[in-house]
Amino acid sequence: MILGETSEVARAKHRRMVTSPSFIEAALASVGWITDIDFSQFDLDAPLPRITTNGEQGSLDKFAQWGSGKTLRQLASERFDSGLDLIGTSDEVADRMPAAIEAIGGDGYLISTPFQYISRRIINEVCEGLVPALQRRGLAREAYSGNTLREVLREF
Amino acid sequence: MPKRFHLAWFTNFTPGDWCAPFSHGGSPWDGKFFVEMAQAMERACFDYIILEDTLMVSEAYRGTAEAALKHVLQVSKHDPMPLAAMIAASTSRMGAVATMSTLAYPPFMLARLSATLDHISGGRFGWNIVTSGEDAAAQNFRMDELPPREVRYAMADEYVDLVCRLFDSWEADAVVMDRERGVYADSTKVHPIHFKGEFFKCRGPLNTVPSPQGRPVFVQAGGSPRGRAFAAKHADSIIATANGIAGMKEYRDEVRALAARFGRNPDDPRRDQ
Repeated sequence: MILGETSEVARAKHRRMVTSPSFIEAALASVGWITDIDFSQFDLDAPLPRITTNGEQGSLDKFAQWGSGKTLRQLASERFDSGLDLIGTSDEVADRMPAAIEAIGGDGYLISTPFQYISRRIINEVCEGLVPALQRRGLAREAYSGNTLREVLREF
Repeated sequence: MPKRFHLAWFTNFTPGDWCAPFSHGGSPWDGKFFVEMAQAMERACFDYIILEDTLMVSEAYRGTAEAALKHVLQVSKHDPMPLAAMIAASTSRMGAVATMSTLAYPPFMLARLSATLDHISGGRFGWNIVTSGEDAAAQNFRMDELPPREVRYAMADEYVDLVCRLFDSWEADAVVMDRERGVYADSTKVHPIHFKGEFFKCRGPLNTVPSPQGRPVFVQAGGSPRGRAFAAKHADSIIATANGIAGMKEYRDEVRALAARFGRNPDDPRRDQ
């Protein structure tokens, strides 16, 4: 997810990130290490040939979007897209988050950032922007009741 | 009343976004940056912070470590276990989950470390179970190459059975602290396990006292068919990546069906995407 003061700011942040010179290489290298596949061997502007791995198969399948016809460059720029469009202001993203939970029947969200790059700024955007917006909608916990982690997971 | 959902954050002990316009600067090695992160997450009432881990310097891209080292892709990465202890000691309600590979840790050491962290955290520790997925990691642990996935998960199934036997090797009331008789623990309630499996051998018992949760929360992310079965069988919390809403729904439905087949309540493994 990418958060900003306005939708435009958030979308611009996302665009700047996925088109930066180093992003494509980092995306290919990062999917390479979890699959033991050297993606530098493939043409960036052609579709990815069908391949399998003894590493993280689920991650490879998600990255490759088999059958989409997208080029490797497009796949790399979409490496961290969840398909859920969580880019916008805290309120916009909080409004969109329940839809996927309802459609999937899911229990929650695991937040991560591309390449696990984090800063205090991102931590504040999520913890003091997005989560309060979720709490105002009754979508996130406002206080713990369980004592152990297993109890916290089963609170609701 | 809308349905509330659970929140967790997946991160690792790396310098991450070290040269971005807003950054901690690149040397978070005293762990305090991540302690502050966990405290901010706890104010926001997250379920847990999860510290991902890997055990190699990847040369998968162009056959060299250049890209990995240049872009901070999994290196440099420090050990998540001491960091989990720091986070646990600096928070009071949120869970701290750390990653340990069944390929790397001897089961006895993993069980002991987990029990110790479960005590330090007051019952808030979770183990993210991974089997490792890289030849370069296998080569750091006395192997020439990574065993095939089927073998890795067969090893991991046996591994989890073994560590559960170790967690159960002390009866819940084995620590008596009887001042009159001068007895700390009752020897009739601490039992060797004499485990002999296909891959592992362990005598037991564990040398730690029973931890607050009995065993840590098990977190798992299996994506392959074999991985999904493993997650459905063992996990308290499943983290998964799948393509779009249809892919995520298919994943969830299958894992719930598998959990039921293993005799579990399908609501027991909680799933975050």
